[in-house]
Amino acid sequence: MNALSQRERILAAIRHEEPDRVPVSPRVGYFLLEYYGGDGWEHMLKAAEEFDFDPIILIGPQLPNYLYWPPERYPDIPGVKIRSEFRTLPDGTTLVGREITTPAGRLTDKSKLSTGSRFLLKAAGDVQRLEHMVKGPEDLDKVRYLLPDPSGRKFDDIKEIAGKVGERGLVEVGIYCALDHKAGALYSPNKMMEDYYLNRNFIVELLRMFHEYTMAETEDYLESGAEAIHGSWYWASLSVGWSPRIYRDLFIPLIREHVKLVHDYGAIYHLYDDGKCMPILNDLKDAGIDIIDTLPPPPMGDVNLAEAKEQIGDEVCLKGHIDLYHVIRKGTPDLIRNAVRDAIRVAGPGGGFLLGTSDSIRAAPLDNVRCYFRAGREFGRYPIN
Amino acid sequence: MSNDDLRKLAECVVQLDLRGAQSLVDGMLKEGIAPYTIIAEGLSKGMEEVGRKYESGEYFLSELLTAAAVMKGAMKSLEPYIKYEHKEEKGTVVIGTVRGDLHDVGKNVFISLLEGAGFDVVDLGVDVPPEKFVEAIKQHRPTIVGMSALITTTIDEMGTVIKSLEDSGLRKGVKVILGGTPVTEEFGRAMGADAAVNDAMAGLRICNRWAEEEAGQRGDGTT
Repeated sequence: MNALSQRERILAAIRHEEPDRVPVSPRVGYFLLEYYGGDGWEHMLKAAEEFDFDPIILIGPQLPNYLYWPPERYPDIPGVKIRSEFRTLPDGTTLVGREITTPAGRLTDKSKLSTGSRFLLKAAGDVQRLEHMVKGPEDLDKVRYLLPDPSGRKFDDIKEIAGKVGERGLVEVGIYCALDHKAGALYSPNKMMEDYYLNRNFIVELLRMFHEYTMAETEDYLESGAEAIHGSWYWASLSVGWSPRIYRDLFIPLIREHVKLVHDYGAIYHLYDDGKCMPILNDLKDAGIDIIDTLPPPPMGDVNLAEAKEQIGDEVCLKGHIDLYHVIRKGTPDLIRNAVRDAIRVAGPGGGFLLGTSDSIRAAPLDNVRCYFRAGREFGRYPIN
Repeated sequence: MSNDDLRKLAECVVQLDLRGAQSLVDGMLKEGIAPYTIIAEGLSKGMEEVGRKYESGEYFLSELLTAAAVMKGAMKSLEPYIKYEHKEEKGTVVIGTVRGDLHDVGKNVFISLLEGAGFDVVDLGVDVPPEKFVEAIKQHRPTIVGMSALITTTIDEMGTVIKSLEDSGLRKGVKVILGGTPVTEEFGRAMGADAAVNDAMAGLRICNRWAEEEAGQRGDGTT
């Protein structure tokens, strides 16, 4: 087979066809920052050229978000006032208190930002919440004011970036699910687990409110030409502690609706969950997802790649699997090569496999990163023995 | 009748039924059943069964957390009646999520289990630098130090904390247990820890064993 472009290679694998070789498409955002000092799509293309891999370029989400954006970026919402106070503590950490007044009443929260955090309020999951904004059902009506109707917005840069990337990769638009950086940022996931048994209606309503927002947001991106949606569900992971029973009851129906919307536009649904997932693989397949990412092996995850291929590999494209810590960061070249070879031999035949990693590559020896990419190219050539 | 109620109470914990547990506890208190009997023969028995279900894979962290919440909710009615001089003493555990890591679900579950088992726990929170572990050990004189991490980029920090304990001359006086999803026994050995686990129940068993050994050495039989 003639060599394919990166885009052709990735799309063929997602269609469960055997391309010229298994696409090598790990998440590398942090690595780009470490290596080039920037993590934009241009840096991704630069890295793909230097290290010879098949980039899946993630853009967005782009909508304003009161929940985790720093105050200077808050948009004006009629009737809503926000007062924020930042206080630096002697140990270098920052305490952030917020008071939000809405027509339905007042909301408050307190967070602690760690020393050297690059995120500020941007990634609520990496910020310690001392006081969650939602204390109970009485706060839901107030929170609705922080989720202005996103429908009808146009994101022209999606097509523009996809055009510039061209055959050099696949562009996906990232969307956080109802829980990730949304409901889970306002109300403790631990409490949600308890409330599932002790106050279920409240949790269902909280998730539904954010899910509707997510659906509207997704539709905007699809209307703007997104050809693949990267649905982030990692806060819903079994590794966070949700049981398969709760996952099936709370999250699978939302995933199914999300996938259907994406498929209605002819786009690809890429589900991101970097934790344990073996007990729910068939549920995810039934929900219609096209790609599952990151399928971490033990100890970080629970994935047996051969079993995953057997269970869902006929319909779902598998992505990821190579352990970031024990293999890429701490492993020897032999360990890296063996892990990559084994994964490709198990999941590569018949297509439907994108070699990746269990998490975004970072803090890894450069030689190991190069070794990983080389091994992917070396062992990934079809036909796979 | 009270044995039946105690069995039902244990079942409420297993079935994650807070209202049922509270109602049974209130009823038994009115009947004059000793609070420690309610705890030991009802709530704790239920938690033991929850632990078994967790280890067998039938229950997950969500159920473990909820069972702990049921136990805590039921304990509210009991607290005014508890005579603290009779409290089971197993020693102090200083625990924290290491520097650079802000995850606390696993740590909090472990703390609930430790407290339920009779340990005093000093929770240092998340993103804890090595010097805070050192300060806390000097201040609280624990027998056990626990460190938690979830993300693979921070678990090496556990080794840094252990090195700080060694440099401060504190390492020999404490047992060190590491916990977190990416943690393996091999990793624990490489870091110089006494134990490394990736599930809270296994961690509790180890701490209980250490507490028994400690009590045996003291010969005071407090465990």
